[in-house]
Amino acid sequence: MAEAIAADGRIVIVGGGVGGAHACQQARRQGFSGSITLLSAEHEVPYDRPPLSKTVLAGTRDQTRLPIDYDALGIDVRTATTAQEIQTDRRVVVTEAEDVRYDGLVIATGAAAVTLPGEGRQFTLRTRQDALELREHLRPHARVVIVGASWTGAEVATAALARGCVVSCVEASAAPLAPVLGEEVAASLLSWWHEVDLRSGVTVVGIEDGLVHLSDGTSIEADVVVVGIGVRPQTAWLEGSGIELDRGVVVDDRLQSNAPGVVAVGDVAAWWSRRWQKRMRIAHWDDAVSGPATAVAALLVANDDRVHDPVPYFWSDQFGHKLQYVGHHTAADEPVHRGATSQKKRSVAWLGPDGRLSALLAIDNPADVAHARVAIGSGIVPDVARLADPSTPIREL
Amino acid sequence: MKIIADHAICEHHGLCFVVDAELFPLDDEGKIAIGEDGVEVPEGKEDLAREGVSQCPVLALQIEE
Repeated sequence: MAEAIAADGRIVIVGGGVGGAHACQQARRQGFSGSITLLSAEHEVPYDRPPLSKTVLAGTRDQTRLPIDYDALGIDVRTATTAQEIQTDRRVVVTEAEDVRYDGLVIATGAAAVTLPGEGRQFTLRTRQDALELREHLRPHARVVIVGASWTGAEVATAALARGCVVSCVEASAAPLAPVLGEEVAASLLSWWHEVDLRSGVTVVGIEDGLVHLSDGTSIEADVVVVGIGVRPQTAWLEGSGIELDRGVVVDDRLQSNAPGVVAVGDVAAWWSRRWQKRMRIAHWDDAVSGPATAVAALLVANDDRVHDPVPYFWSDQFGHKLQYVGHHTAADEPVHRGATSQKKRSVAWLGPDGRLSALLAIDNPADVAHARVAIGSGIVPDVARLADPSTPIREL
Repeated sequence: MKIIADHAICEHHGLCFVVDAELFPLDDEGKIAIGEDGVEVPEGKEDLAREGVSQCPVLALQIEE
């Protein structure tokens, strides 16, 4: 795969999300002057998704366009165009209208929301259209049942409460975010849900129009059911292509797949992390924005030494609070509180078994975020007492 | 080339700072600490400036060529 695309070659990008959009911009920034085609199954040019569950659902904005001028960059953007398959031997992407030839291909097809079996209508939140349709149903006094107290679930609950809905939420684990943050940290955030009829430790066994049936034998009346239980990478169209798949497109630390000239970015990419020595599928905005620089360089420069290994970052605006999480921790890591749980601004840091700072959750406390990201990236082993002292800035650890 | 920051929009994500801590300094609260008139980008740092600006999740940063 040490070939580079000629200056008059062709780059094809499949997927019109933030990763695809940034891949267009990156290719021009890195001096590529050949043709660039963006194929997007959606009916509009790429837009930003994080605001969908925040300001768009709240009703303060409708559009979330990205500031990228495709005409000025000379990008052939084809919306409402679904890539059906890739033929790696011929280097073409098959669409209904034609076969699109590529020298370099960026797979950026993202992920789709997982839904539950059942007849009743389920709303999910993935596209701008999803957000606008759901918003129409978030009317005063509407009974809204959210399945999954996920990051998105919490944001939907926030918007629904603000719009005067009566909100319930069904969460399979002991408390919202307990599987991610651990039960102790999750419990410290539980009071934020006081306006929601939260049913923890139960699952949904059936959805019919007007009713959500739960595993404890009870049911909740619902005008609107919103399902936020996770996403699945969109790789079905790649099956049989010879491109290695394993819960995403399997790529190396330069985001290259096993097929020559094929890279992947964003939610669909399962990349190898040097830092964590395992395969990561991050599926956060930040990963889709930072990945294209490396992926495009891998296409354009033979033996480029750039690798994709960012310290993951994401954020959530919920119940009037801002949560920001940097890094990556597992159940084997120890949480260290920076500030009492009664404090307005505080953080929770995690230390790996080797004592390294592995992650940090800032709760209304953005001062810690960027410095923690740098500290995690450099692999510091902080003094635990100093880490637990919120008056010690992270940069001085 | 200049970097212009809109303090009213900045939400303290700090992604710009991680791209380049000198081009995108933060204050003690994690907010972008570029003055109202913006800041001149030193020669050779243009690519990093563009990179940092395009990583802002809330579009609080702009490049003025």
